[in-house]
Amino acid sequence: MYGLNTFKANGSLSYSTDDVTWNQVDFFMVSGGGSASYTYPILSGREVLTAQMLINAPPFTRRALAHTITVSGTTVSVSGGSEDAYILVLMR
Amino acid sequence: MSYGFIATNNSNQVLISSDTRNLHLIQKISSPTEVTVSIDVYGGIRVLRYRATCNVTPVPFFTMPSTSDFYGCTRVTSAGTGLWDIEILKSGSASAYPEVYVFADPRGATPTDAYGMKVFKDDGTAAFDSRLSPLAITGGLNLTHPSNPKPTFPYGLNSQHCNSSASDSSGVFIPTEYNTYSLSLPSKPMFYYPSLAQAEREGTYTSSEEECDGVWVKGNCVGAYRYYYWNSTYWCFYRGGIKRSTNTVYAGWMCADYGCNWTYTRDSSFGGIGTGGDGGSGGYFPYSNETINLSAATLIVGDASRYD
Repeated sequence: MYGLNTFKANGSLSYSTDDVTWNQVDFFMVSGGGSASYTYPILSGREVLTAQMLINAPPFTRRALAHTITVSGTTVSVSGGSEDAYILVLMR
Repeated sequence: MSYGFIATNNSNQVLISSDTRNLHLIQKISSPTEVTVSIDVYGGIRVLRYRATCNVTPVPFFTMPSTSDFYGCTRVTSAGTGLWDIEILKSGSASAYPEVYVFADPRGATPTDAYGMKVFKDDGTAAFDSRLSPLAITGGLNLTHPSNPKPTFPYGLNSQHCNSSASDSSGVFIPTEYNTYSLSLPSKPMFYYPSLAQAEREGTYTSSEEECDGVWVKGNCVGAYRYYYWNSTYWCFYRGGIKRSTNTVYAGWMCADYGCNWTYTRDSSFGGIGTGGDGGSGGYFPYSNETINLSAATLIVGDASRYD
């Protein structure tokens, strides 16, 4: 009965509070062999989803290990991978 | 949040927030910019490159036009300022290729509509812009792949000099295993699925032969003796992929590369002198019969028709 609709110039619905989505909190790169840890207060009390995308093709000289991503409270930590990767942090 | 803007749905999930950024449609790419690999053996291998234009790192969703084939986004790489190469790997030989919907935060594109609603972060950059098409999802899950793409090798291959053809060896390596997930899908689903799981499986086939130019006496060659030994190791490198049917998603495997390496040894003796051998390689893989990156993979599903 209530909510928010946004429309595009042609009158089509652009977005509605009836929708469901994941919002991007951060998107950062972690190098192979590197690590990162960030705290996002906005994650408090929210569902969190992370994803990892490899940047390069797996080499033929080593195991192409993906990073391990852990979420502890409002902190997202990334480590343990041998490859460069983009880390996507989402919430809703 | 002491100030700003937030909109939630009835489940108290955040839809718009001035503390985060919504993902918006930046670009729809209807066909690959380049088919970089096209091989019909080993279950079919197609490596597809899509060139995207986006000011920030893109989040690519793709369609799966065939319900017989597995697909996965295997990498996203910067190709210059504002340019990105999105690589999709698919199995099968079908010529229908995925459409790629490139999403990113609203800094990724400049909308042309004259009016709309825009939400800013505290640094003055856009968090939401209704003039672009914000991402709405229909579902998602964390999925895992079976630990072994191909548990059994059903028949033998030629042990000598990797002489089995790709069409022969591919039958040995076509992946058979997958996990099944029930998931409500729209009529034209699009998937965000970064493929991380990787596996290598190999089969080693050996044979040997003895030659004696003289006579065998009690199991021993009296005269010139030669012993031949052949060893061929055929291998296949797999990456995780997903397949769909009506309201079902399968987490399986796709062959991404393959090869074979061989060795040949000849021991000859006549009075105890002389040895020899040879070897060749169609490439070695850095690990053998191993699966890595098997932790849960992220899958997000949206309705592509909303962005056509």
